[in-house]
Amino acid sequence: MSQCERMQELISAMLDGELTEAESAEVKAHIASCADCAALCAAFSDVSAAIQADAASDDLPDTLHAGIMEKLHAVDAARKTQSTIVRLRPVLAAAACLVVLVGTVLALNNTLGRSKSAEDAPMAAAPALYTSGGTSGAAPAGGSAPTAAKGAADEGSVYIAESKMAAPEAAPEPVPEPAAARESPKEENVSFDAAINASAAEPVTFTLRVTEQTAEGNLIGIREETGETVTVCPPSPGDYAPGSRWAVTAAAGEDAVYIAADMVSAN
Amino acid sequence: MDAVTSQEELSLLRRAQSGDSAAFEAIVRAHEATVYRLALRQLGSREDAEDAAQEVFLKAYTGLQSFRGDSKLSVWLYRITSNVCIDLLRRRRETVSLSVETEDGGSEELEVPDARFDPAALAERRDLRERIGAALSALPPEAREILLLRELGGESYEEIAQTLQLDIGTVKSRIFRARKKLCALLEGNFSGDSASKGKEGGVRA
Repeated sequence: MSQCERMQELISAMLDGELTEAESAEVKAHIASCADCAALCAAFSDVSAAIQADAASDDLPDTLHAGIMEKLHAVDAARKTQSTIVRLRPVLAAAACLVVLVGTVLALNNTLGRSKSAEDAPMAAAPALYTSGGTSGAAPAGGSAPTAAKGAADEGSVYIAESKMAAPEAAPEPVPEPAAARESPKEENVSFDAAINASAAEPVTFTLRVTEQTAEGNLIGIREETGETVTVCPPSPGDYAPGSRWAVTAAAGEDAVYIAADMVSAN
Repeated sequence: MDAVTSQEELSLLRRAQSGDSAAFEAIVRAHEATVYRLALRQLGSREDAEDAAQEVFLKAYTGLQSFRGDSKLSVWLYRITSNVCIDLLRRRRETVSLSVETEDGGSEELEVPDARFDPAALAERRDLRERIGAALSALPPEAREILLLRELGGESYEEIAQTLQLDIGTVKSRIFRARKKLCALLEGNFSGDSASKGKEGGVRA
């Protein structure tokens, strides 16, 4: 009964709406005259209906949606706490990766090898303005409280400079941190502006609300604490959507500036 | 799911891909029931099905950027669902093994089929709807899966072909054979080893 065999597979497809009008007509004509195939058609149809009805009567667990969302939130939370810290090379090329506040440039000491969490270095917390020179941050520039000109980077230095440092004269000698000084003897402190005292031991964090991302990947946004416009080079390429908020932390590293950004909220 | 048109869905997808978590949640809401139901019948337990559903959406969430939107979202999600279920089925044995004390005081392992499939129960339950669950669980996983994608997922043969990466002819014949097998089970015709001795729950053709 090869015709029936062929028909049976077509019957299955017909029930699934996969046949053309012409094909359906042919199958129906056959069924009208073949009891076996008619029975098969009925059985297939009943089985389909039963499967669907059975599933429709499923009690969905109350916890289904919540359980799924919880898993997703856990992923988000894990992402948030992962700070991507990127080492900025202390070379001129890194000038693109400066944190620039209000159009001025801040000098950031790159010594101490402090990570974000390190609190053990008892650094003198005097705000200081200086430019670090050299790849190992060797040359102390402390004496000259320079008003670093925008874009005037020392060779091989990474800096963020603040032109209106409070009492730079009070912040003279870089205080070498004996214990921590590995290669670079001089340790100085970092400030973003006069209002914030940050030591190299304590990173500076601010909340950035992104307004746009430039073609080179820099973020332009508003520093929420002060309302200033800030440009930041983000630590990793990513989609920093306008409106998203990030906790940006800058810390002095051994010979580089570390910038980390954690998402606070997506909108 | 019926409320979401494919245009709306595409826009939700784009928003989700650019970080809009509310959009992703809407996608979850639109599909979680079907994903759960598919997994439930593939895996046989509510707990496993919930775990599987979480795993599916987790994979979808973390792999969101890799979906280009060139097929229906459901095709993509059901493919993930299929893979998650296959993994789970592989990782766990489909049978339980019991330690049985033998007469001489030793013990041996006795393989019994999964309790989901009980031919006696199958025969007893008159109502087709009641029996259908047991019969489905007796199908080989591949047959069960393809039938479920059609019946529960509502996918066309073309969509199933994309989901399972088969050609349409194969889809058509597999669905047909799955139905035939199911009907045979429901009529009480078993082929292969009798279930009480079988190594794996269900009937293998």
